[in-house]
Amino acid sequence: MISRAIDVIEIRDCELQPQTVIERLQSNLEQRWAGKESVDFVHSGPKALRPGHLMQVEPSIAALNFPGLNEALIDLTLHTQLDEPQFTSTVPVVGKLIVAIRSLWNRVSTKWYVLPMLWQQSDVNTRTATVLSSMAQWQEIQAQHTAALQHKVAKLEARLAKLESEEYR
Amino acid sequence: MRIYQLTNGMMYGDAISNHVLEIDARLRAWGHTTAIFSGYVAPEMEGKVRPDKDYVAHLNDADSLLIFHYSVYNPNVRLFQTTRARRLLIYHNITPARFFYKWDTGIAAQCDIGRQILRQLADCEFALGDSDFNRQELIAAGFSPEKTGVLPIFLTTDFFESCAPDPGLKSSLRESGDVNWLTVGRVVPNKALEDVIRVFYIYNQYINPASKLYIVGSQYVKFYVEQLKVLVADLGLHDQVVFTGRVSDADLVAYYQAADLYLCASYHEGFCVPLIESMYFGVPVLARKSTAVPETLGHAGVLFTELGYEAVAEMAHLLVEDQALRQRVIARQKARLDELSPQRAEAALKFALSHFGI
Repeated sequence: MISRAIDVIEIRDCELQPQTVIERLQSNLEQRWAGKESVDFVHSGPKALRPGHLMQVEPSIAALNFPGLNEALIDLTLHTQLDEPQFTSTVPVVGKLIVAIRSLWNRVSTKWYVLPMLWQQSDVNTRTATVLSSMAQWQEIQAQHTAALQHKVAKLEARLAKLESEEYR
Repeated sequence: MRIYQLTNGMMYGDAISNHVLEIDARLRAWGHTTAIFSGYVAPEMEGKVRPDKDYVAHLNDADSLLIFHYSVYNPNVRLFQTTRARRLLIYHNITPARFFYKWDTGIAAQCDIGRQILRQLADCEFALGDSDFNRQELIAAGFSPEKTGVLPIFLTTDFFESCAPDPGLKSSLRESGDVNWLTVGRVVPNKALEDVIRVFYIYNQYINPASKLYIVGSQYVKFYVEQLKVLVADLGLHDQVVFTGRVSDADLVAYYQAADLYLCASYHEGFCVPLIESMYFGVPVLARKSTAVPETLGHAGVLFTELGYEAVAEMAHLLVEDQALRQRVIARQKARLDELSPQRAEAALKFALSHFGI
């Protein structure tokens, strides 16, 4: 069913005389689409892109061949960043002092040297996770191609079998 | 005062990079000492921008102000979290991870981390969104409303004025006399480019076969791009839909100047700079009413609220063919550009700085 213009289009500039534009639009819709059904996008095109499917997570072919792949990649990416340890102490009374001294010592002795290395390693981890994720995408694309080819081959084989059976009849 | 800016990447022609440079120029003009630090520094920015690691030397400078631009997860967020400087966050929005789950787990995870960390930044002294939509997201993430504001993107037309279109491309785009539809931006799932393609299909097959759709923007979600190309093939639009990939500035200007209509079907935008660019180049905008899009357009352009593919395609046809309507829409878009003048952004920046006694 064709949607009505007034349900779909919103014109906020009053100088454009929205009502007049909507009426013209509705008239065009009625003229061009009278008696026609709306184009069926719900059942055509790649399933992943059909209306209503955009954010539906369905197991990909590659993920089916390698269970847990997507979860593993998310987990890897979530763990790419190295964290600085935070000093704590459960020692009563002087605990805060111990933490302060250790933090101060860390700041003076190692922070400026170790921290850039932490960032460097985090950067390497991030890049590694990105590359692996790209490889997983590539694998999914290849898996989709293979599935499409298998489907085609099956159809061709069926046609061939039919032709052969007709030939021998 | 010493005011530093920290960001994810600085490159020529990028909206956030331009914004950072414009802020820097204002701060200098107002007498402050400034520096820009960035995770990625494109070769053309060397000299103007320093690598983010250089900011480490300023971590203990408690009398300075650090402005952090947050648009994507970057490990340098830790510098913002650990600095002793006073802290101002500018949030440019991070796309919700749900748009990427089925397409790219790596990007989905990065969006997730980015949004999780946003909540941890709520203890900064003041935070700005570049739209009220972004400001509302800050509040939802735990920022106190009275410590938030809106700083619109600094719109400077100098860049476009100084950038000539590629003459060969522009004439080839105009040569055939086809009606050119344009959509610009990263080819990512939240932009719902499949809807753009479907609306164009209706227009091309039932209204005007002499038409082309140009999808301009970087393509890094490979599986999504692949599926869009399958859709184009299934609809028999090989010759009518062009995926250009990322283009040079001269080519981008040529695409805008040769465009008859800009269509945006995006489900999620924090600001949407291509809408502004379309207004600047006099291209009528037809856009989905979602997230920050209506705010950026103001009363300009035309919105669609649902699909309605046929109704949207017919509206596109009116915007292309009805010259009187088209010119009125373009004039309103130009007026909207004036409302988003740099002076308005300057005032908002001054207001934000006043929270730091500057």
